[in-house]
Amino acid sequence: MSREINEGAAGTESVLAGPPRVVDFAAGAVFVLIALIASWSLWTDPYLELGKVGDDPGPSFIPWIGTTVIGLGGLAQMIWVLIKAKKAGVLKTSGEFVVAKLWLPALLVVSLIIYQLAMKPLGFFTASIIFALPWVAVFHWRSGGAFTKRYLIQLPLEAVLIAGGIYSLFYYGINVPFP
Amino acid sequence: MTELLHATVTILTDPVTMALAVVATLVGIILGALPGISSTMTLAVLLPFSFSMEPGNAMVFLLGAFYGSAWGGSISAILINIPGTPGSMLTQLDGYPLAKRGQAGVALTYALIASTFGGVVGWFGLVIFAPTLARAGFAFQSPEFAVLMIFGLSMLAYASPGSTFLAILAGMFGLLLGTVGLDMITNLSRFDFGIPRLQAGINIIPFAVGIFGLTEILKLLEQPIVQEKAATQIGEIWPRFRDVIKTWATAIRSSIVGLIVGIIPAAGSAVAVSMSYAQEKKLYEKTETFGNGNPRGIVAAETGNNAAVGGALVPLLTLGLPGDTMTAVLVGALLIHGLQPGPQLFTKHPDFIATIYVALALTIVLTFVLSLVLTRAFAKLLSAPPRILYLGILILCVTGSFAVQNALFDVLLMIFFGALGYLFTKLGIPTAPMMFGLVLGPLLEENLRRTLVVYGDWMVFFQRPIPVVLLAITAVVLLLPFFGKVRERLARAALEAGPD
Repeated sequence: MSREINEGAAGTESVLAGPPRVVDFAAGAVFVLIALIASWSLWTDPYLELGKVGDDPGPSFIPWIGTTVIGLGGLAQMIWVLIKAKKAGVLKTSGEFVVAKLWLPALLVVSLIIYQLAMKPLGFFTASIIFALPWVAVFHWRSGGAFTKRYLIQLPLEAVLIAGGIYSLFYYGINVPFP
Repeated sequence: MTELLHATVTILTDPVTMALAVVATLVGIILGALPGISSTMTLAVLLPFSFSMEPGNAMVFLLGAFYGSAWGGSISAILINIPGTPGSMLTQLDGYPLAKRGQAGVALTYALIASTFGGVVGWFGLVIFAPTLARAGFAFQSPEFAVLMIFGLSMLAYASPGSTFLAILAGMFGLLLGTVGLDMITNLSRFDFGIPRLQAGINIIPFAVGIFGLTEILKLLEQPIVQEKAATQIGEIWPRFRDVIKTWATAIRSSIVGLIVGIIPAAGSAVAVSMSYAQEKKLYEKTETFGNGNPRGIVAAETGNNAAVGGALVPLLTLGLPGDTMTAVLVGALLIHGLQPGPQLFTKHPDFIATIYVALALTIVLTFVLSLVLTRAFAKLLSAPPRILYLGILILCVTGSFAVQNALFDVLLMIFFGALGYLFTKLGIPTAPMMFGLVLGPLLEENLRRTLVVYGDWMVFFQRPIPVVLLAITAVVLLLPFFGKVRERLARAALEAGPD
């Protein structure tokens, strides 16, 4: 709840109104980027215009409304932050995007992608165990656990049991045909 | 009445359904009790299991997890001073001080009795108000439904924590995600980026599991995981009967507040609890102190929280409007099973509605019984190693996403949305409105386009009373922050100008 209330372009509560931050600017930029990708997709699809028949505004109507609102809104957010930054004479960094904080989440995303790619060639069960073994150790380390002899046996055992338990639940319980 | 009787007999005599109810309630309580695991995350992770069940059993399962986790949040609030769910944030104010005095068991029982009472009031509210509102809902045609969806989306975005402006943009992004795939009228594909799998649209399960499951684990990994230790022994379980009776008026008042707030779209359990607690604090400010172990505080928070559960199901079932992220996941579950929430559900599937009534009642009873029997065991679970829980959730996220359509692509979607949710969180963008947009977006599009085809004119939205009222409320709510800022500036300018 450290910064539950935040000001946007329109503003809500100004309880935490402080100097503008880079992340506020980046939030607007993300929406502009989304709008650009979406509008490119809509522009380059020649068939969508054909869907307008009679009074039906067609299949691209709602997507265009959404894209426009997101794009203009994102832009407004960016401009608002820049104006505030000019007034305040500073654009603060929030300390959210630092390597010390980001490396483990990034590593998890990468290992999940590798896990997904490995499922077909290795099979779900084997891939799950290969994924679970290092990550049970990471969670153990992050919880302040020590790697004593006992844990060198216990952690791999836990990884196999968790992966195997979930596999069995889905495979035998609800007949999911895993690769 | 016949349907209710039939559903009761069917559920109570079916061992599979009963087993599902017990397991879901247990898992719901356990996950709800663990700090860091929200009710929404619990529901999202369990949602894939319901996919293979028939709709009635799926609702028994999900309602068990929903209600169980709403109560479970109070266990950690009382024992370790960390609410497991937003709805239990005020239970800790009086529950934890009582626990520190060695009366954790008494505090838990107060909370359990109160939450059961609130649950029962919420149940009656659901059974009484839902059919009435559903009958009124028949006055709704496509223009009303289109505006109702705009109203719902705006309210939900407004109620989200964080910047309202960014919440609205996130909601619009969710709405865009809801349009991915084949258009229901023309069958033309949108936003598929040449990926054939996207033509089927974005499935709610990988999305919800990514946003509410994986995102939370990614956030958790940023810092060392601190496992709070339960500060006390459980001690005595039962409070004195006359002390419990003393709080009856509080229980009745708070549950009525909880029920009413729960029925209001987008209000959610956190608002219900805050209002119930604040009301009692105000009423007893001269004779009692709150926040130091007052059982009345626990009763106020818990009755409000659980009465809101039944209340939140009223707009969900009758109008298809979720009150918060948890009920948005439930709407997703209904849609997956081909059941469109709304007034028609009451006439076309009265047996299903009766199943929901019975399932909620069963869950309330099961939560009470299981919690009484297993109080000490639940307390011990709080000291289980977090690595087992988090690794289990990670693999469940992957397995559950795959199981929906037996597609590895859905696992990739889940990872994508998990990472996106994490990025959004880092940038201060609320993620819940995306879920509302994804759920309500297709309904908005369908009804808006149907309105224009049938009536041929945008003016229809301003010629019918319900759309006009809903649009006016939406406009007022969305413009309020502007007025607030203008007033603030005027006041500042007046101050600077001085008394002259």
